[in-house]
Amino acid sequence: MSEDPKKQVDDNGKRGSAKDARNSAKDARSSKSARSSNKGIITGVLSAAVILAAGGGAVAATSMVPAPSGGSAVDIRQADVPAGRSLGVCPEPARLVTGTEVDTDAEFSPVSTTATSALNALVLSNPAGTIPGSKVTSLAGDTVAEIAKTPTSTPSPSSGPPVLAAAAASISPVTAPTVVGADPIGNEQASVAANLSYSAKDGDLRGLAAAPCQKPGNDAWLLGSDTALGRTAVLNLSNASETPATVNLDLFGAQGQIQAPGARGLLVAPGTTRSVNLAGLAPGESQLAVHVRSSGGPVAGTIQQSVLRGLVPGGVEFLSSGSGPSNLQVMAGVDIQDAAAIKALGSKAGFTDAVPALQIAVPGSTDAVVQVRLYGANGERQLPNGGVVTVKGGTVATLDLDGVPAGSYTVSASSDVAFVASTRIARGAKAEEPTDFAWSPSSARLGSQHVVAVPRDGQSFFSFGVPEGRATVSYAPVTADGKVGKSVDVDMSGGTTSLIELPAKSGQAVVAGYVVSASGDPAYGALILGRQDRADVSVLGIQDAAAGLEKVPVTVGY
Amino acid sequence: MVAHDGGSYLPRTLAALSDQTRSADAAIGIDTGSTDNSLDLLRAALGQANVTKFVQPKSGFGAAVQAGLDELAPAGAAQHEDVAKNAEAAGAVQAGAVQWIWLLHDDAAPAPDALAELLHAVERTTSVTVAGCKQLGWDDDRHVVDVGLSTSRWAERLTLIDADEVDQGQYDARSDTFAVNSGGMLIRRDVWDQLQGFDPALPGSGDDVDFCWRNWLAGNRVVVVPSARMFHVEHRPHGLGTSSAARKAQIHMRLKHTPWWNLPFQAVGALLGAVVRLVLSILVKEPGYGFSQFTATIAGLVRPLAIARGRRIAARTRRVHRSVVRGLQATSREVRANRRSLLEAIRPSEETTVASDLLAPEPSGDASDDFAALATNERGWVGTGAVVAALIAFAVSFVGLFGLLRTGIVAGGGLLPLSESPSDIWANASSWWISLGAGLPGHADPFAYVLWLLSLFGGGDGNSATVWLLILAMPLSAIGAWFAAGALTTRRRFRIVAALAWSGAPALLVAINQGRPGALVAHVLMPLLMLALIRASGSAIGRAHSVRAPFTRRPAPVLGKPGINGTPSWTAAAAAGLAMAAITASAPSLLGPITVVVVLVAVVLGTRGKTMWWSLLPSAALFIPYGISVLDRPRSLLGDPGLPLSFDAAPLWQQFLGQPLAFDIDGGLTGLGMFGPGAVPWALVLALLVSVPVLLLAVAALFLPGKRTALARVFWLAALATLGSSWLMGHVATGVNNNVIVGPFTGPAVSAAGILLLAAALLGADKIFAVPTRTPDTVRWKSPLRRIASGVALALLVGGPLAGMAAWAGQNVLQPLSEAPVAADTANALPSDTGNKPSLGSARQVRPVDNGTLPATAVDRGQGPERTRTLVITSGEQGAFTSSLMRGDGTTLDSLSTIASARTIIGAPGREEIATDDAATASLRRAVATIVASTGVDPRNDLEQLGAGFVVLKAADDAAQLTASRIDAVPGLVAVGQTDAGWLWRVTPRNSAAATAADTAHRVRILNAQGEAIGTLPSEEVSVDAAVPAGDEGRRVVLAERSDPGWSAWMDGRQLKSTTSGWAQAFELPANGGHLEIRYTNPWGFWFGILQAVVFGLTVLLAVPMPARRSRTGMSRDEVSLRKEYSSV
Repeated sequence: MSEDPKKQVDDNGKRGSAKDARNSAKDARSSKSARSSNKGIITGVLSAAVILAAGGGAVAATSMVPAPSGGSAVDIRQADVPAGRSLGVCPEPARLVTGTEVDTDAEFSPVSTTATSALNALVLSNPAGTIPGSKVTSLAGDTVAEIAKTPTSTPSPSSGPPVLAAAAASISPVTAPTVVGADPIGNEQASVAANLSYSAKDGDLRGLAAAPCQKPGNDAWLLGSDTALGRTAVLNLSNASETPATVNLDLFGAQGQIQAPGARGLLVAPGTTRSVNLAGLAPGESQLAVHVRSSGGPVAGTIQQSVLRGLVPGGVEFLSSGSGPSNLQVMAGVDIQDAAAIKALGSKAGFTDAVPALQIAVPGSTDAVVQVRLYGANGERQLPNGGVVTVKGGTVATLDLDGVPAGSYTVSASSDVAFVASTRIARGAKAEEPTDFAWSPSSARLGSQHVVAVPRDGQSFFSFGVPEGRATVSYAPVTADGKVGKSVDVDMSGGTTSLIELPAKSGQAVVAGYVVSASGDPAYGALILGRQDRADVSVLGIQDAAAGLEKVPVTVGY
Repeated sequence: MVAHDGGSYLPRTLAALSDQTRSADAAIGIDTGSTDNSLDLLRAALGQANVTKFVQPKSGFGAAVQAGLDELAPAGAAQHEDVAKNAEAAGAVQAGAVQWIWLLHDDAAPAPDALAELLHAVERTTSVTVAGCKQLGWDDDRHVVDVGLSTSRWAERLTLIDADEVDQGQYDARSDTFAVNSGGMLIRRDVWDQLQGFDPALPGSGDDVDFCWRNWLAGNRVVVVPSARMFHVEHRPHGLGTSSAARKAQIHMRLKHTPWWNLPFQAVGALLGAVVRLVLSILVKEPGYGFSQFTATIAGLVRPLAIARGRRIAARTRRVHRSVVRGLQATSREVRANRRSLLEAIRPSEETTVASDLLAPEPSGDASDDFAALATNERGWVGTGAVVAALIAFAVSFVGLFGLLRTGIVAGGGLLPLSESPSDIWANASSWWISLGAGLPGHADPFAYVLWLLSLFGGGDGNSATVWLLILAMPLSAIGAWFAAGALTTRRRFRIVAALAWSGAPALLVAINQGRPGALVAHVLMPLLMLALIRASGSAIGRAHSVRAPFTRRPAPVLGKPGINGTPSWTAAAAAGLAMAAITASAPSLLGPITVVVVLVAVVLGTRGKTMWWSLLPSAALFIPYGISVLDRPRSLLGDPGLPLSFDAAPLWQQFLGQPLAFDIDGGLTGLGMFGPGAVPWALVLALLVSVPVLLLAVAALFLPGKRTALARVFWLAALATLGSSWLMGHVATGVNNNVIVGPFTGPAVSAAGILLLAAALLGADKIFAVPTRTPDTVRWKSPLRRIASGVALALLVGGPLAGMAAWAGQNVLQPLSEAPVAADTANALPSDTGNKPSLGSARQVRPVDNGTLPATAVDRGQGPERTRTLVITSGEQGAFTSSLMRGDGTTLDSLSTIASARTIIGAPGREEIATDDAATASLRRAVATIVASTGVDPRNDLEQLGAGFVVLKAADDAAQLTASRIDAVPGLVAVGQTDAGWLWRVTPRNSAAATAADTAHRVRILNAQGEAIGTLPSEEVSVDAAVPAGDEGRRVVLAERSDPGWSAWMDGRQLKSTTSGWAQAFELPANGGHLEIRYTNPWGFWFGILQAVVFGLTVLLAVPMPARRSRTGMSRDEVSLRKEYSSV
């Protein structure tokens, strides 16, 4: 704080005027004061310049080094989700709708006397060879059968190749909806798969139907139901949780969403199944998509779809949910037989649904332009009409695949609008003979270690498709005594589909299922079931692999 | 002969001694370690043999006399002795076989006949053993100092002489008196020995009174002999007779001469009296005097040994009852009358000062008397400018924030709702346990006290007060800046410019729009701090006629109104302290720079800066408890209060332009499409328009010679220091919210630098436009040019802030806040346009809140005795979830803690990261993951441990519906439904036994030995006070709080053993039930509370403007009167 120069000037001025008489003294004083005032001004300017230079220097210096950011985001911390029980809710075997007239005429009785049903379940061990405790229970939780006992000790996984083991169960006949459950080992979910298969050689519900035991959820899309004349669609909603579920159904038909008052607020009590005849909600809809939304407990929904053309049974199938709305849907296991016969059959009245077809539902209000591609054994197969179909928003559309030559295909549909899709496979070429159909819902790409349970009777095939690139799919048989066999690799090039017939036995043991893994570009797969010399068919999607250690990004705030 | 640095008085004293008409029989001198020529003078006058040295610094007059007597005239050996204190031992007089001692001071010259008169008086009666002189002035022998002494009932030493009283013989009739002055005191030697001389515990003042008192009690008389005159020096520099010594002596005598049973009452009374004196002295702005009195009282009280000794000696010689002296003591009526006349003697001179004040041509400062008197003049009311500026600011603010008036609660940005009642806010503010989430130890933010004040201003409704604070921030800033400008310039147009510039400062506009309460309060209060500091140092602009005081180290000799012309102001210093406490609490990152600047200024100013030290006290008291609890995490000290909110810090050159947030030169103006990015760099244009005129003037202030260039330099240096330190601190991360780490906000530092540069600019403007009026003739031709130039400059100065305000209001009106999803509160708060060029200004984030943070059911349980918490989950982008564990009616602004937000940051500045979760946070994360993943796993173990009885899902998008459906299936959660505040689930207790008692989770649970919940207890926010039934052995009571040694529990007065249950605090319960108390205590908490209360109480008292006039001498009336009392000791 230097002495103020101006002040000095003032002071000196005053002093000078007070002493006018002594001029000489004043002169001497003022010259002295001028010097000191000059000096003061110079110091003042210098110090001001120094201050400004300091400010400028600070600005310049700070612009060269990284400035404080003020805020930066870090990766959101992932929280481990404790593994819960792996659950699969299996539908009950196909049943006639209550109220169906049962005639005395045995030849035309709607009741299938030859109906068989089987629940096949397969539980895979963890890499250390420990098989998780698992059992089959009723919806209410009563044990039906035990697949594997709860392990007493859980050896920690050792390094080296995994030592896999498995436990299988096959229950036949099945009379009620069941739940296949497996406990987690440590913090990992158990790998478990199960399916229910039904077959009958007579009656209205003649044919082969199979459905995987699904993980219950709160949101599912079911495609392929049909409530036109002679078609029966029964939606079964099973609640295996301890929480009551309130289910709302959104129904979409060819003309758009169908308003059905009875479709709202369906209460499904814990441990029960509720059946809804879709014809009561949306009668006469030949292409019906059902969006099942539940609040409260999660539910598993399947539609038992059957066809009766006059007196001739047209087949039976369980429709189960595929992957949710997406811009790309891939359906594997589309097995098409004789193209000409199908075309001929399809042209007959009442047989329009006896041909292979792709059904697309668009949930939103935007129209979807869907590009459909077919990949056969020898590469992509062009569709007759170019494969482009426009589906109005909120409607369901069907694209017949009747011009496609015989073979096993993988169907890929893509659009810039999210949609759901499913593909119908038909068997039987003669109008007067019973036919059967199956629906292959869209499926997720194959990852590692999917468990596939295989019914112990009939024929079964794997159909793998690789739309693009190159992928290797390997499958290892699992026998009923719990041994995991040597895996078989299938190297596939893009745009092709492989159909692999599966042996009933591996060595001496009955094959209970397979462990399927895929690597490389996206590969899709399905299990096709059939009967020797019969027109029966059913397609099972390959279920998602166990989630392993699941993580959820969770941040903690105030 | 004894002397102590009395060289200047000794010659006259010694001469007077030798001129005695009845000369002393023997004279001895004692020197008490003088550093001047006293010893030589004594030796020359009295002879080598009769002079001794007595060097005991802590002893007083009595001890020196005693030592001199012992050495040079032992009783019985020497015949006649007199000793003089500090000066002369005078002749001892022989009257028969009786020896008399005549005590003389080195600064008191006796009249030639003094000894003769004294001896004459004592010869008349044998009962008189002590006689004293009439004390007159050293220079003015007609000025009465005292004629005999008295005491009040409180043992106060009194002369009962009016100021400037002239000796007209009016006291010459006095004879018997309570006591006499020790200067010229004639004592019979045997009485001296019997009473053992003066009490050594009374070195400075009151020893004569005490001696005479004991003399009376011994059955002897004390007389004053008015005809014996003594010329005594008044106001001797460095004398022992200070007011604090007098106070100490008073206390000592009070305790010494009271019956033993009365001792404690006297002691307590003395203490209370001291406190009252302290408060009064602070009220009259003489804290130094008050403190010296207070410490003197304490010093007097804490000498039990000296008191005991004094009492023992006094008891030994007491012959008559204590009440004998009562009649000689002054009655309180006399004392009051004397005081009043003393004051009247002082007052008239002040009224002339007041009259001269009225001549001041220009008023300055605010309306309160102590800051500056508002005087009217012919130009109309001076406050018109303030009203105009405030109205403009209010209009802009009203337009820009109109939407906020819709409701009583605002949130968004850094704002959260406040607790409902001021008492809740106070509880949060003063707590040592941070009730946030799972709780953690630490003192609450000092800012919570600011919020408490805010809610008091709002009549108890803190949320409404927040709304009004946001709306009134701009007008309040304008008024504050207008007042502050008054301390720097007398020109009204510049005060208006300052008001507009401050209310339209970008830092304020950003703080309002982003809801940063701390930066906002700091900005509003900063002009007041500035004003108060300027006045505290006496640097405010003064009257035209008074002497201009440049920066000097000494207070200006001409003492006028405090605050100007170099006169420090205690009121202003205390006001500065309060403002600084509020500002540093609101913007803790400013604590360091402000403290450093104030300390430096105070040091440089020396005694003139003494008042500024006080202004540091409130901030220190506020931050000490908080600082203690962040010793392990000092980065909390820099954290901004409120929700940690990330921002884009401006580079330093933009901060100089007053912009806290970074902008791109051609980034356009936020929210104004017309001025978007394009060919014209609108952002730069506006930023320059707002600040460049002010900056130019500030630079001019540096270079233009003038009276206040030094002040301008101080402003510049302080501004540079503030910005520099802010830039450095910006590298330290101080808060975490969700996954965002944020540093201290640049706003407060930009505000601080802004007000400093604005102040410098005012000085500069004053100089530039002052020139033409001072040089009338030579540059007259320039006058029109100057007028045009100054008009343009003024237009620019006013136009910049107005343009800034208009842009802000326009952006808020044109882009009304989109109904921001609730998630915006807690979700990733990074600026969404980080990829784009940042534009100038900030979009409005504060918004009215129509419904509570939590559903009413949860609030009901959260505030009831259950103290149930609510886990709030917000689904964000890309499947991420944010979560918070809320208490009561949701997390409130006052319960937020910078300790909590900085707790998890580790790493060096610039490379910070978030530490690994502790058990409680991990538990919370796991619970959230379990719930949202809905894998069928029961989350209740974690939820009960966390005390969460409700789960709320807030959603920003449609996917939340699906999440909500999934959560429905989580075991243990019962869906209540969708509420205004989100989907709500209730957590059912696991244990059915507990479920019958209560259907929701409690904060306090009782677990049995197996760890199962068997009961719950009601609790308060922090403490627990409940009855526990008897039960099994091995029970534990578990709190849903992190364990900490500060928790303690008592069952029927018996302390319980502390233990833990996982991360939670628990106590072992005995089998028999009883009354359970659980508290969180800090051993220092109580004392810190006392300290804060004392400091703030005193500061508020000191800051209360009193119309008290100062005496010419600059002392309080109390001290003036005391000076008179003790001057002659």
